[in-house]
Amino acid sequence: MNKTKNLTTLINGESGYITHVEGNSKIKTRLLELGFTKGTLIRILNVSSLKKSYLIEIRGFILALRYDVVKNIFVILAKEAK
Amino acid sequence: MKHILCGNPNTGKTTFLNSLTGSNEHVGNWHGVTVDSLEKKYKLNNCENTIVDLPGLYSLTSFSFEEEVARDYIYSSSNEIINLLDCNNLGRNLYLTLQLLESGKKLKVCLNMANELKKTNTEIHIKKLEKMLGTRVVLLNAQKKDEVVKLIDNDFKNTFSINYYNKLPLKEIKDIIKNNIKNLSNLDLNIDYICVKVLEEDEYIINKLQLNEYQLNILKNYNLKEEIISLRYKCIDEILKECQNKPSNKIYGYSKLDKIILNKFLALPIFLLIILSIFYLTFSSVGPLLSNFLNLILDKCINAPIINLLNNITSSAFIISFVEDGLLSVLNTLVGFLPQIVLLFLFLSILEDTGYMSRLAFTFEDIFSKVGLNGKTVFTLLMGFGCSTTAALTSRTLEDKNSKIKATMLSSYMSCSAKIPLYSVILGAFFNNNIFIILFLYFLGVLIALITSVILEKTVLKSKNVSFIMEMPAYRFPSFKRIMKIILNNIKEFIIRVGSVIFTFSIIIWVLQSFTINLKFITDNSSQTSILEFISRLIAPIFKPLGFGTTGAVSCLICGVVAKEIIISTMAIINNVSIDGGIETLSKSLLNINNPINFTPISAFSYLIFSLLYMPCIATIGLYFKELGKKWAMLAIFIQFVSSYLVTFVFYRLLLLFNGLNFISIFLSLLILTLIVFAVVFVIKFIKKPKFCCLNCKNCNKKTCNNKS
Repeated sequence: MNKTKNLTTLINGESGYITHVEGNSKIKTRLLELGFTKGTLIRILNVSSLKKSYLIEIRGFILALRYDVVKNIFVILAKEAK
Repeated sequence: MKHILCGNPNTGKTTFLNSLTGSNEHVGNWHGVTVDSLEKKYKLNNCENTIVDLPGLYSLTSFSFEEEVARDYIYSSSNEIINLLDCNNLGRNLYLTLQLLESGKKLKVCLNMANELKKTNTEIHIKKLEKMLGTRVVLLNAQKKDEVVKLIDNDFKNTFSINYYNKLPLKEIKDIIKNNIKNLSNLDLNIDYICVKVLEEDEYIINKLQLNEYQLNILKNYNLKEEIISLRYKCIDEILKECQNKPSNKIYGYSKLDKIILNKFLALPIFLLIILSIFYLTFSSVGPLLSNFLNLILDKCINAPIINLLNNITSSAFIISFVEDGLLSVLNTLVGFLPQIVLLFLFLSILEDTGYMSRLAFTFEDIFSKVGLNGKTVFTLLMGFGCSTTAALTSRTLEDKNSKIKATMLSSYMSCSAKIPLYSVILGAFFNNNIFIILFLYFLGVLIALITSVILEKTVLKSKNVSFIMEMPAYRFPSFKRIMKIILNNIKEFIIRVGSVIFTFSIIIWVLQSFTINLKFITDNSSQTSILEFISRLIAPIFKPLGFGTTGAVSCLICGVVAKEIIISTMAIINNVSIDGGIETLSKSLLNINNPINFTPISAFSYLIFSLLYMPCIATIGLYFKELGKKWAMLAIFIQFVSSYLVTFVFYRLLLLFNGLNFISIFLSLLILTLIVFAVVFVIKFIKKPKFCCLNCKNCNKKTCNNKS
């Protein structure tokens, strides 16, 4: 069974495929334009100690995003998708 | 010829401009250094050319104000575009390139930072890329002038075939909006591109088209935004598959070093280690050594000969005093600061250019976002413990104006090292050298800084969430040439801009000290009252409620504005003891019943608090004026004065009430102070009901904005 998870619940090193992106029109558009399109594989590289900033690998490069942004991204864990 | 430079943030557009025109615009290894468009003229082959540097943007659907500036410029001009890409980040960078190509602009694609391709063992097939994009593609390193100059030719084209457009219902859209296209006649755009932007629900284009309700309703049914973005990324994926050979295990910008530096448990100790070593080198070993050395040379080579010369020429005490206490002392202060500034900017530029500062922002975003500060401010605040002046200098690395003002202002609350002599004098006199009082003062400084930050955040200085993305630049070795440039520039600026303010203030204080109210020069050994004393007497009653309303105590504070070290030397003069006798003599003189300063233990304690928090020294004030502008500099000083007055007042009154100075009374006072502050913050919050605020769009009417977050 495939379970959709919020990206903020992932821990260091976990990866997943994007199912959808939420948020207001502006944030959503920007996330999509940065490459967070459906089916893209992403990986959490680092979460800061109070879970406020996230280092994410996507399409071969890294992005550091804040919690408020990351909470809009939903994924299926890569290991469960297989 | 006129060209436009555009590209994603932090791809080196300003570096490109600097190399091309030989100018000296500020660049940095993080995004958002350029916030407005900048036009520069330069000469090439005897032709006058112009180049325009735009703020970085990720996409033509703008998100922030800077992006709007860039987009408006691109849309409305028909000039050729130099599109700069970070060749290690092609995936994200090509998204903008595709949009530029779609819009029909003529451009040249420049893959910058080609020298770093080796690090990730990446290969890029230029010829294939040129064919697929239908433009010229060049690999370059924007720091090299000859590579940059070669680019300026007429070889700009756009023969890109947009294979994904046939999957979109462009013809239908064209029919819907065909009567409105004329509204966009001032923009230089393809009609197909306009249709796609309409499908993408791009607010700017839709507003400009002035579509009616009926048209908008039809368009709502399409809902193809996600599809269009996915199509572009599919196209990018195809391009990269063909043209880029990249080993998949290496990620640019994240190395093994990051695993250590960003580690949950190690991040803080590593940061402390770095800041402590910078502290040690700047403030306690190399810095003071060089300062003393320079001052010694200055003393022997300039001060002494000039004074000797003056003594031979004239016997006027007025002129000698003006030169010695006025002019030369300013020179000494400035020279004394030089080694610190050189060292500080050396370390700062190394930390910045290597990319450590960006990681610092990542680590401290957690803690500091709660009080409305940016992660990078931690550096500025900690430098405040060494010297407020140098701390204020470091705030230059902050991109957001509001956090810059806050960080600069708050760093002055940190107890700087120049205040330590004052602490030891008063501690020796009244508190048996109790070390806890010093610790308490340090703690109080930090606390007041945090509280002020919260209040400012809630009222006038709301920090903008500057960027959506926190850039995480790759570790780079800073170039020696660049560091030297930064240091020289900063020294020059410091001496000219800050020096002039220090100079003016010092002369004013000198006049106050050496003239009577009737503008008569005070010669030594006379009992005339100086203007300073007169003013002190006048304003002393203001400080009565704080417990130290004596003329002596107040004139010490006024002199303390010149430099905090001067507080105790003024105290020594007022108490008629020699400062050479050491701190103990001065402490003893304070206990003398007839001394003009007349402290009780509690008033001495409140004096300590006041001198911890009140306005900084003139060197720092000079920097305030330079960095923050007149309005904010005055306001910052005003806020500092008021907050120090209030805090001291609360403490003094409460301690009087508890009738004693001990741990419990101090602790209780602290508690009550915090409670009062929170009550005030709560009231402010209650009065200013939280409004919906839209993210980053400045131009809209906030009440009707559709992008409420």
